[in-house]
Amino acid sequence: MPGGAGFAQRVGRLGLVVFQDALRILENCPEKCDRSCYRCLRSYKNKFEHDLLDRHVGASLLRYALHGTPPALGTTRVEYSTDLLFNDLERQGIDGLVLERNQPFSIPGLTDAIAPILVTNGSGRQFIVGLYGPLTPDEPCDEALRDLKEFGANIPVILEDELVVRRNLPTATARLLELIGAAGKQ
Amino acid sequence: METNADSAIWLATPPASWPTAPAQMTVTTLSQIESCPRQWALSAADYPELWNERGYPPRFHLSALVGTVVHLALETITRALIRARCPSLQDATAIQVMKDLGGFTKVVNDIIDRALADLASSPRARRSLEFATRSLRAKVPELRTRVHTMLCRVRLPPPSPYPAARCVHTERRPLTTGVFSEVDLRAKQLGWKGRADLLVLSPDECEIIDFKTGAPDDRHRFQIQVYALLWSRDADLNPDRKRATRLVLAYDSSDVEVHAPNDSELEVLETHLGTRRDAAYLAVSQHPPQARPQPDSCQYCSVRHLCGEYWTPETQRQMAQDCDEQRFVDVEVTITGLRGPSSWDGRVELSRGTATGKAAVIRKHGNLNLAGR
Repeated sequence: MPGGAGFAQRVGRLGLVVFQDALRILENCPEKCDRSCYRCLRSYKNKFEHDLLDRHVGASLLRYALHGTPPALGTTRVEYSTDLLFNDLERQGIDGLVLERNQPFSIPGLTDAIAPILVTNGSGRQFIVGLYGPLTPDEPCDEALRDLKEFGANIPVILEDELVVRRNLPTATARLLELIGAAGKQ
Repeated sequence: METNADSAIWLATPPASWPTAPAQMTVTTLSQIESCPRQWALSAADYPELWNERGYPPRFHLSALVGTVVHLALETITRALIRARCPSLQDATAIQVMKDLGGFTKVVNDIIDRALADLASSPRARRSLEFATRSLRAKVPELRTRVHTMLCRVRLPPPSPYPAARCVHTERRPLTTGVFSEVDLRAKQLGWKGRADLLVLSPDECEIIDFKTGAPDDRHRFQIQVYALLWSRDADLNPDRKRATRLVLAYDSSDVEVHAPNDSELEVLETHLGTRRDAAYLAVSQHPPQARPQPDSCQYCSVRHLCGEYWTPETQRQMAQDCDEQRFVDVEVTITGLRGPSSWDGRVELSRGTATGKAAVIRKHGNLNLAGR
């Protein structure tokens, strides 16, 4: 249709209500689906984009835009994604690689915290692995890791994109193995 | 606003005079001269019509800049740790040092600011500044992780009963026990110099650590062994001619230990370096220095547009046969007329990608000013 159907102009005139309705749909899927389904975001018309639709990420962006709420992922989702990554790392069966989930640690000068995944490689070097939300790169989902990531000089904090873990786990695992010096040892 | 230099950068003008050989040889300079004396000379010559810095203005190269940022961030942090006399990375002092610096992300961001400011001074890179800024800022999380991971592998020696000088080395005086960063090593008689990232001295050991941001390479092994020689021959810093006992190349994900040469191996290396230095000096004493066109080096050469040898049918034929890069090719075109407000007709003079004499259309991208060119 020459000049378009005029939807974009109408959205502009409707103002905030469009975004508020969008947020309601994203937050209240009747199926409580994991990412998207035919009860919330999916339709026949957007079938080619189904794989890209994630209502939780969209909702956190809208909450930030409408209310200034910092984008954050729910604890359950973060725990689930961390489990995914942990299990995939374990599945590699790398000799000498020790993996521990939710391991308490303490570093002089910093608050005690829990390492979502604590990795000890064959050389005895330790790494803390956590996740960040796709809208906030390098901002750990776990508050306690923030100081450690910036000031902990003796133990590296490696953060993975939660969305990559869920959508492209082999890439996330390969990058981690590279960083901890265990690539090619599977 | 466009300056004269921004406009002059589009003229491929060879330098008015060829540079003299460097007073002291380094591993990087030797490698450049041995690869192609002309490339070194074109890169090192002065271009006062373009800018006031030395050498030909650099262009923006993301992976090189990423490596520089990681290297400078490690240098900044290790210097601060040494200054604070931090006994180990496990110690609370290390946490305090990082807090004083503002954290890994701030260190990385500050260095990116400096790198971008340097880039802005180059008339060749200025146009890419916005892209460079976006690309580098997007890489901050990755850079923070790389710096953090590499730093954690640095071994500061345990507190020693001997007086320890943990300082940033600035004066050229004998070094005793301690940790020293960015140490300028000079073997005056040999005519060589180098800069070791980290030197850890204890009464019985001398460890040289060099941070590397690229993939492991045999040239890195050679470089750190040269540092071992320069340390043993540096009469100012090491009058007792102590040998380096441990050489470590610290890469992103692991450390690689390199054999530390013994006395007789050092003597062999010394002779070898003298011979190669003399050959390199001879190569750059010719004006113009010899060009050694090779696909491996020419395709990454940043001054090939200034090199007469590169723009010959023989070199272009060789490039067509052996060059991996097929998506982009260099082309010499004579403009034959104006086609539109931002396009010109032309004729191909020379290219490995297309036949000589073929008609070409040149389109201007962005706000590039080619008026009068």
